[in-house]
Amino acid sequence: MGIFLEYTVNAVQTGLLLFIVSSGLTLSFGLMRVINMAHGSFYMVGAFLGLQVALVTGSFVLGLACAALGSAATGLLAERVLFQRIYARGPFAQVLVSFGLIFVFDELVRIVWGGEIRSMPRPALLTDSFMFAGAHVEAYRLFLIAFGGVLSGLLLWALVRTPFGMMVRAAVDDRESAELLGIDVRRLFSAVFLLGSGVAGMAGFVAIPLVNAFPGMGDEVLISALVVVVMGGLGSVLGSLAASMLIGLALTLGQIFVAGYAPVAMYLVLAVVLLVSPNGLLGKAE
Amino acid sequence: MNAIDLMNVRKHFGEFQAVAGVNLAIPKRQRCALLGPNGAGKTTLLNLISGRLTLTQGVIKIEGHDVSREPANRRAHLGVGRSFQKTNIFPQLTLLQNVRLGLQARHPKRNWNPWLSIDSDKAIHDEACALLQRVKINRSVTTQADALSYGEQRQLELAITLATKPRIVLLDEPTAGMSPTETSHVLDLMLELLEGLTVVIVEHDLSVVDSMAERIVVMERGQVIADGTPAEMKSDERVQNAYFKRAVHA
Amino acid sequence: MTERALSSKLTVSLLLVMTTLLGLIPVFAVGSGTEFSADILIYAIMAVGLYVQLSLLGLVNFGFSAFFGVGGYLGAIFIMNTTRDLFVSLGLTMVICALLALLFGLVALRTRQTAFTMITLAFAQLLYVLSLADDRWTGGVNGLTGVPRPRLPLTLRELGLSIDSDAGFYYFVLVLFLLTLMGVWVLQRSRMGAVFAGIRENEERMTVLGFPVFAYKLSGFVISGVIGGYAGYLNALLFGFAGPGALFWTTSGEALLMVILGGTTSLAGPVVGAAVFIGISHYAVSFTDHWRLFVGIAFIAIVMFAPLGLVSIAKSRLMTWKPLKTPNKSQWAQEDTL
Repeated sequence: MGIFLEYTVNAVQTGLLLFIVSSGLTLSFGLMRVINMAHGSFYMVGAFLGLQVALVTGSFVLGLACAALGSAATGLLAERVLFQRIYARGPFAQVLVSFGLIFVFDELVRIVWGGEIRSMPRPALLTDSFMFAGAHVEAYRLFLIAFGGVLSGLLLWALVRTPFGMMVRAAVDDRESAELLGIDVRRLFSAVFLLGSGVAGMAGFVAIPLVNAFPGMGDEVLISALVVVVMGGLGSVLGSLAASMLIGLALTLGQIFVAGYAPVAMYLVLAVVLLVSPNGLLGKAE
Repeated sequence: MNAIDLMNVRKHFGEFQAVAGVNLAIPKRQRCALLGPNGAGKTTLLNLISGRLTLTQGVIKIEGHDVSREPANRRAHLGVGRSFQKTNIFPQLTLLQNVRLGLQARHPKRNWNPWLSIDSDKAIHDEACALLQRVKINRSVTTQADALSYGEQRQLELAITLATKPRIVLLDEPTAGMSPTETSHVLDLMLELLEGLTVVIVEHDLSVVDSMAERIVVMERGQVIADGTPAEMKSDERVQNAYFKRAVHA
Repeated sequence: MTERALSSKLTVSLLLVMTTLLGLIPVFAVGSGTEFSADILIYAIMAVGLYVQLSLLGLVNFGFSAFFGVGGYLGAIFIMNTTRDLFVSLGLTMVICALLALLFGLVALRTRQTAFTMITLAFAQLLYVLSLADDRWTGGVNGLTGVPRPRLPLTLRELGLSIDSDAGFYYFVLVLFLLTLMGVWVLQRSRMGAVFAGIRENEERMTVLGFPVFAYKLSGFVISGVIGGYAGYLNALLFGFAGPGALFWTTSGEALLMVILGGTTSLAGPVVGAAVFIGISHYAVSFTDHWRLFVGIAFIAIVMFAPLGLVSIAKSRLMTWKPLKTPNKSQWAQEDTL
């Protein structure tokens, strides 16, 4: 029973973090057919910027804030300088440019911070772990669940209840009609891109106490996020949520049963889902 | 044996019934026009016949074969050819290559050949050129397709469809967006080239329908509300209502 | 002379010159020069493999290095465990790569283009992770070292031929390179190649016309994978080493860069791109540790400013002296049908 609870905590925490990272990715695609391969890079940039600030000021919260702002700013920069110029050229060009950005960001981080693995201790309040119903539960993981849960909740609430969210959903559903209704999809996209990058950066920062920070840390997350987005259905936030939880579960179970081969579980699930439903769990056939 | 048999054909998109139980028998060599206001389900019906959409319910037979479960590419081999509402050619390929693909489609086994050069195949080259001439495109065959005017692209589209030697041709608003002159050109072309074939045409331009169709089927809200000769339709009250009601409320 | 005739004469003469020069390399370049040339040819073969799926079929594969890496591992494993014969080990490698491509293609090709791109990336990364984790077959993070050169069959050995020397191995690679080039060129001009082009330009229309599109895509995918596979095999043989690096996503990125740099619209593109990229990166590595930064910048710059690649630029300069047109939308196959 105890072990089972531990696994659940891990799976949920992994799933939620994965969700908030991949939601930005899936919405970007839904709005502008842009697959931003550099999304993992924003995750990494946020982590390092936040880490720097946190180590210098000693404040976790400040670090978190800077992670968000830093990666959002990076996202804004990338969008303004690069993506905006090639919207008209179609998704292939976008995906290639963003792919090139991965190389650039990985190396820039390596140049500024060096290639070693950086760690950050958990904030003072959250260093405990305790026993609960026979399970070894870490306070920090619970914090992550809360953090991921709150962000996810905010995201879903914003999508469903706010005018902004409704415009996003309308534009994802049918861009042309949305434009005809007067919605400026480009600006909407910039906003979503900005928010998505910022959220990714925060996720990168809060993950550091668990997985440390190193150049290239975004690549693994990117792959997982891509798997989630494809499995959930491109453009579907609910699909990403479902897929993230599935993947979180698969990865956790994989860790237990096959250790180093854990990612295989992820791909198996993906393959099965795609064989049954080529457009993903909740994707649209076009 | 009829060219096309539709029996209780339905297509639902969730709650919405795009096609709500259509029964239709189209004999061979008949020229049938599908009319109706926007959203009546005409294009959807065409898509169901060609296989681009799958049936929710019902049976579709092409020349007696039940094709309800067959994918689009297999129906093509039963003699169904189709043109699209939005021009659907191969933009970066030359005119020759465009039409050649239609010709290649006729011999599926031969296309699995990765060594013999198709460029040196004189027979297919000549046939493609002949087809381009029949649809009255007067351009060099090495012109890239996207360099053509809109009207010429529609002609190319027709050439590709005809290249497959279809027995049944489904036309989806072939004269959409054309001026009266262009329309009359395309109409003449179609009358000439589609002779002897079964034709199902979705059209809004009533002059085209008048010249081409021997039978008119009117749809509204996914169902057939009238079916008869052009003369009968002109005096049918339901048809008038369907059209005028929409026109007034538009 | 018409533009087309000029273009083909140009191409043929360039080809002859190139082949002659390539044949003479071991005579002039000693030791590492020959090795370096073999390296370029091997990557050129890989790039041509990617070209088959990317440029002919329009399949944007971000994980092509999967085949390259797997080919290397398979070759090493077979040579060290099963057979010292060159053709047998090569043949086995190609067969297994074909099977792998078939299995993977069956799942991946059912997705739409964008999803396909992402899945291919994910898949390559999966193989990378597996190769790191496994100790028994792949040697884990260290890879498989000390892979010996396999032997030619007896009849050829009696003629005095051997691939143990730098020159011998180089010529073997050269022969495979020329065969690959010829094979893909023939494929391009064939009926099957015409069907590939149709699928790339307008997949839906091809379906309506009656072509079994999925089967063709799968075939092209398998052909492409096999080529990548034996390129990887040769790569493992060149330095006697097969490691996880070849499976890492950056290698896929480099393969893409090679094809785009050279130009996606002609067969010369991937060859030129591979040569330029390997050439530059060899020198760049000795200048700075951070050469990956420049790879990324080059990637972005080419896509933004010279998307048609070097070969198109050269061709247009040589023949018309007119400035290059910016590409229209359909240059980048199929984005409208997403």
